[in-house]
Amino acid sequence: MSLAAFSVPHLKLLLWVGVAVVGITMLLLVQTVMLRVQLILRRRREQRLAALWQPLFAQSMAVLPQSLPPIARSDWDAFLRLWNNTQESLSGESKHKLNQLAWACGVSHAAQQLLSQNSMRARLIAVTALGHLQEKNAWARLKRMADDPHPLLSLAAARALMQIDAKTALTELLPLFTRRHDWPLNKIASMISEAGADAVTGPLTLAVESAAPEDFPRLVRLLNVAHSEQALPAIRRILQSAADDRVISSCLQTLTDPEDVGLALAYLRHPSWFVRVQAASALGRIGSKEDLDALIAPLSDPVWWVRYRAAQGLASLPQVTLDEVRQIRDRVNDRFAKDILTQVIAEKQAS
Amino acid sequence: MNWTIWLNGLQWFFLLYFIAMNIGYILLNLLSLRALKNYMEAQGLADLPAHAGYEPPISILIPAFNEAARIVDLVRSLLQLDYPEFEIIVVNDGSDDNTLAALQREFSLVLFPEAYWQRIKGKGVRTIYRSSNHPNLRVIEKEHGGKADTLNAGINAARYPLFCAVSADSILQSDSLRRAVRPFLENPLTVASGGAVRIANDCEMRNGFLTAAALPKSGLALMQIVESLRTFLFGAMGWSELNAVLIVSGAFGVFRKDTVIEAGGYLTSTPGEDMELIVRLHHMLRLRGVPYRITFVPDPIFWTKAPESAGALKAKRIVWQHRLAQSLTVNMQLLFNRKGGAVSWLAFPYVMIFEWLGPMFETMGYVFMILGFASGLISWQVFSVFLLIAIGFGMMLSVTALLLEELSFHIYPRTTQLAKLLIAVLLENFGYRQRVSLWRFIGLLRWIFHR
Repeated sequence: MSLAAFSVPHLKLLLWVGVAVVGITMLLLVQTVMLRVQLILRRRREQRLAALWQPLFAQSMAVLPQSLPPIARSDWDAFLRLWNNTQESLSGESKHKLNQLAWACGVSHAAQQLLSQNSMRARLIAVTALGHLQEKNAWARLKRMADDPHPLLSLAAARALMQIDAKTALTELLPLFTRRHDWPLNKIASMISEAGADAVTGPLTLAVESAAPEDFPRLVRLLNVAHSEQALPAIRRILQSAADDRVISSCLQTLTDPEDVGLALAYLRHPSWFVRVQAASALGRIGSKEDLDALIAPLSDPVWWVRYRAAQGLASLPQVTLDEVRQIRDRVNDRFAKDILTQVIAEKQAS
Repeated sequence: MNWTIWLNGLQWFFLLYFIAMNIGYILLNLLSLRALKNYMEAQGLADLPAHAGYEPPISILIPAFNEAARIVDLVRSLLQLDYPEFEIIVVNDGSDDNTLAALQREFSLVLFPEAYWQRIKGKGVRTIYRSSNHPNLRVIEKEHGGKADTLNAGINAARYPLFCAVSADSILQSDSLRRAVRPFLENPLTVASGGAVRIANDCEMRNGFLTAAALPKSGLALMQIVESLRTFLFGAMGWSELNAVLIVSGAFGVFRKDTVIEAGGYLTSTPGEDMELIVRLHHMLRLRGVPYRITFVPDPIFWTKAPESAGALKAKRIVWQHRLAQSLTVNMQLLFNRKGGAVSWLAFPYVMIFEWLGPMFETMGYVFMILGFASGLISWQVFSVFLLIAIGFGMMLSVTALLLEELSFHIYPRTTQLAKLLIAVLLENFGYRQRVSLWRFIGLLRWIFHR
């Protein structure tokens, strides 16, 4: 007996679903093949463009070529990517010379047109090109884009603004550096270092001095790419009056001047372990043989990292020999202190 | 008659199950498509030279138990990774072969008096060695305690804030670590990132790294490429978009060390420790209401040799199903948890119904329909429609996965490779997929009866 499970309409419906699925599958197959064909054609076009333009880019480093081939509308995307990538690999005067070629080719106009497109990829390419070109006329649009919720687009626009005029851009961007947690710190640091320490030290130091405790660690980490010695007076002032653990910990990381030993010593017994870790590290960095005794107590700290940094700091103090460290190890009674010193001695011997 | 009503209901159940499962996968692929579009755009910018660098230091952990044959090659290749600062910690889990001797000979190991900090409890660590040639290489010798315990010992010894667990059969690319770490740079809330396994059979290798992808000569391995694209790669990418990825291969994952320690490290009582850790991290962080990200990296970063015999593949799938069952049941509280968000209300039930119990329904569906047809209880029209839907949807999914691959990474650049893959995505649905379902069903039964 055959089970008449499905009424004819049900069966028909399911049959049509099946047929539709198979039909869609065939269309997807065709689409996959089409994509591959497009990819092959695009790569060929890119190779052709690269073969034509790369020698011209190289030539423009010496002298701007007299005549330049026209760029077809459909080639602008690939051309700008090639030009952007070449710009990224250059520095100094060469970048400026490649810009002259770009001005002659009409890169500014093409990039500003791409900026209006819906495609995020096209806009990213255009923003990057306008940054390299230092196109002041795009400032207002780039400034608006730096506020865009899309992290990549806003970040690329921020970088372009920094490339156009770092000092003016920094005043606009500093609030965003702390507010935009979707901007990775390494990328902000990267764009700041591109602008150069001279341009960024002043505004960054001012921002650090007036930063809220929650923004402070982010800004202080950016000081690494600035002239940190110029920011030191501000750091000292903050360390003398700061109450927030995050602020203290961040400030201690920036200390590089032996004059600040007192500040590091003051925080060696702080209740927060991550402040003690930074104090011990700072003391190892800027302390002298006179500070040796101060680093012995933290060798027995309940937190492994404090013990380890104290031991490392102790072993790296100037004029402290490995033999002296061994003597300290033999002298201390605490097992944790002995163990951590033994480890650091072995590390020193191996390095 | 009652039994006819039952059989009627079963027919509907199996048909609707197949439709629901495949629609679920299709929706996941659509989510993947969106995620992939964003990812590829980000990729374009991230690869510009000015945006590279600043990667955090990372500890690479290699658990080793009787790995004398391959451990030296793996460590040698890892030492050449293109990454600014990393350390390698090989944890020898009481091997009774020459694993330690091979490492000692090759890397000039010397005893190292480390103040070992046991933040996660486990079996005793006997000795710690350090390489005199490579200061960033340490070897920990410990009592045998299993893979989870071995990884926990590695976490205890790790110095850096991130760690990467690498299994001894891994094949990496020189930039694998850079790619896997990128989510941590781009979103500070990231606590874990993992990638899908890519198939390395017949690929080109140099100095232990994979340099060029190729399609395997073995048909079975080729089918596994299609299977991995469909289920592990773009499925996971879709879940990642919802921050609800539950199944990530533990053979290559990067984790924030402190978060894993807070969660108690790898669970020693389950064989699927890597899979379980991901589920437990979701469990812990969702229930605490802590914002976090667990990200799936779709890039080709981790490769492994796929089994080329049916026996080996069967064993692998059985173990996989067992591990999946373990990792879900241990964290069952997460299912429909008020605080669990997309993990509790979408990913967990989906994985339960279509991945964990799915092989049972799939196998039984086929068996029921075939037997019903053979005995004349099911008409040829119904049987044909069932096959059309089951196989048609399967092909559609596989083709969609290949399309996504074509939109993104173009791992197989030659036209002949694409042609071979196109044939494979169609053929995969005639036998291979059903066999894998059967093996996974056996895995499920073994888990039920032998746990």
